[in-house]
Formats: sequence, C-alpha cells, structure tokens
Amino acid sequence: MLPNRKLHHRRLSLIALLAAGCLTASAGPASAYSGTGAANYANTWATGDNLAYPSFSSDCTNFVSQSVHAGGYPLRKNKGSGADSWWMDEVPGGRSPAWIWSNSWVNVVDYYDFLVADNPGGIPDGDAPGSSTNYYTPNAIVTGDALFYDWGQGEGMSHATIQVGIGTDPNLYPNQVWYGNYIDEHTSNRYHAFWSLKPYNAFWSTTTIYFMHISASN
Amino acid sequence: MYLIGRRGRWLAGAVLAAAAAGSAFVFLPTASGAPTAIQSMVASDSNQTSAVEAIFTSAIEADREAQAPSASAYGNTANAVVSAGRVAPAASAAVRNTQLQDGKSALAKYFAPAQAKHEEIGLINAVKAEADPKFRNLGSGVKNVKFDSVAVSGNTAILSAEVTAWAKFQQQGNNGNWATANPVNVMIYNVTMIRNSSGQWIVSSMVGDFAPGEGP
Repeated sequence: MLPNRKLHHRRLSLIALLAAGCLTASAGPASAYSGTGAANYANTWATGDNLAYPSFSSDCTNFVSQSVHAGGYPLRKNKGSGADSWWMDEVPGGRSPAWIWSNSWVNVVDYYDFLVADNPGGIPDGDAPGSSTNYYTPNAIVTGDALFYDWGQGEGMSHATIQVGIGTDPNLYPNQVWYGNYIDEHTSNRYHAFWSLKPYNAFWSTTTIYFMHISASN
Repeated sequence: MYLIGRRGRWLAGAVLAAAAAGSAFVFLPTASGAPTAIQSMVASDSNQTSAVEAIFTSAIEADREAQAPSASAYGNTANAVVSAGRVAPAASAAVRNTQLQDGKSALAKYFAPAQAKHEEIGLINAVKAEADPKFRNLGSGVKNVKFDSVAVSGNTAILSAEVTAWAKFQQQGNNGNWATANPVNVMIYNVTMIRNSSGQWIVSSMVGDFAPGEGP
C-alpha cells in the first residue's frame, strides 16, 4: 500500500507544482542518481572489497549501498537508526579505521524500508519466483536498481543485489543458457550473475525476488 | 544476508532465559547421591537429544526430497540420460501427481500442520515448474546435517543446524541450448520441535538463512 500512496502523493505534488506555474522545462527535478555510475562501481568491486569501506561476512547490503552511493544517491545523515537514515562514517583518530553506520546501510530489510520511506527514494516494482528464467526483470527495473531476495525459509528478505546490465552470465559460460538481465553481488561474490540466481540456488522453488526501482531524482 | 540473524539471536536468548529460570535444568544434590526426580528428567531429556537429531535429519531430508520427482519413478532414469550427455525426458503428469501426493504425506509425518503447509510451498512450486517443457527437475536433497546446538526440555526441543542442501536440474535457454545446474548451499536453521500426542517428535517451526558465502 505504501508504494502506491507514495506514487499518488508524488503525482499530486507534481500537479500542484504545475498549477502553481513553478515547474518549467529548464527547472525540472535534478537527476542526481546515475544507475550507470552505480553499476560501474559494482562491476569494479563485485569480486573484491573496496578498502575505503569496511566489509562484513554478510556483505550484500553494504555492497549495494556503496554502489548506489557511488551512483550519486546522497547520504541521509540523520545519525539515527530509523528508516530515514542511510549512512556510513569513518571515525577519525584511531590507529586503524573504525566505522559507524546506520542499520539501513548494512541490513537488507532496513535498506528496503529506507528506500520505500525516502523521498524520492525507491519504488517497489513487483516480484518474481526464484524459478524465473525470463530474459528480463520488469521493464521498470533498469541498471542501478536493487533486487531483494526472500529464500522462503521463514527469515523474510535476507539478500540484496544490484542490477548492472544485460548479457550472458559469464560464470556459467560456455553453455550460454543464462542470458538476460544480470546482477553483481557480495557475500557470495559474483560479477554479472543471472538475476534470479536460479543456477546457484538449491532453494529456487521457495525463493521470491522483489524489485526496487531507484529514482533518478535522488 | 542479514548482518546478524535476528531470530537466531532471539532463540538463543530464549534458551538461555529458560536455563536461567531453572525450570528444567536445575541440579539438586542429595546427601545420598541418589538421583532426584528432576535429575532423572534431565537425564531423560539428554537421552532425547539423539532422537531429536535423528528426526530432524529425516524431516529435512523428506522436505528436500519432496521438491523433485522420486529417484525410483524418474530421477534414476533421468540422471542416467544426463550422464550420457543428453537431455532428460520430461516428468509425466502421473509422476508429478505422485510427487505431490507423496510429498504432502511425508511433510505431514515430520512437521506440525502449520509448518507443513509452509513447507508445501516449495513442493507445489517444484511440481508446477516441472510442467515447463524447458525444465527438467533431476533431484533435490541433503548432503550433510551438522548440529550446532540441541537443547531438550520435556516435550520441547530447540536446535540449530547447518544443512548442506543440493538441487540438480536442466534448463533450456531461449537459444535452444540446454545446461545442467547442480547448486549446493548451506542453510543455517533455527528449529523448534515438539512431541505430539503420540510421543513423536515433529518440527513445529523452522527458520533458515544461508551461511555467509554459502548462498546463491
């Protein structure tokens, strides 16, 4: 319900702005988030760790957060742990770097909730089963968008990846069967893996994948 | 994956709280050294550990095996064809129907009704996928079960286990080529088991997430 309300709210806001004569072709909302920029970062660090950030044994959301931020999504530094915060900070002065972060930077559900709550943020765009072999994720999902995975084992969403392009999954070359949108991911580090992860997933029959389009207006 | 498994932490806390409360784990020394009723209960509970482990292993094996047609009815023949470098035959409607019915029965044997319903989701999705002419479901099972902790108190058991699970299937791409996939992952489960009115241990809740680096 929330995503629909959010869209409705945005439409009303846009209508109000148009009615007020405040919106012109030259003064539209700035496009700050570059999905291509995010994908470039993800491709660079898909199989390694950027030492400018901490890394974790379960690193999937940290990796997606880094990529999305590299794409221009600004930090939300309210310094809290609520759904309105999204940040990672190095604490200066120590002999080795020490870090603090918001829950939304590193935890799957918290990041999903942050994107939904943030404005413009992200827009949930449906789901698909883990058995999917379709070439493409929904049309509204583009390079730089986030995918969230529920393995169906009672834990809820517990994995996140970032969509980075279209092509053949090179990890499974040369059979060339797994062609379509592909993602980069951490925890099990993979570069250009087929988006549903079916060929890697013994739990494909219980998995559900949720799509999140990240607005270019962030 | 979650940085920290919230539910696992909660369960561990619950076990510790129960132990701290001393409701089932109290040791009362006696002058004679003869075991008290409480000591006997603890001993009895400890004896249940191996039974609980055996039943959970059977339950997770049944759960995984339900998600592919049986080896005798389909898997053995299909895998022999695949080993010869060919595409396996499709599972017939009869094979799929038997898989569905047998799978539901197996789940009902090892899981409490609500949890069995949840486990049926994977079975139903697998049977549905097998009707796709571009897919062959060659097998699903368990390679290993490693118990990290098992605590038994009366008619309740709480355990944590690392389950190494596998699947095997063939998929045809839109270019017409077929590929065989054989993913193996490790799932960490936090499980509650209870003894039903017949004295049989069954799984009443089961929550899992992949071990770091062992998921898709």
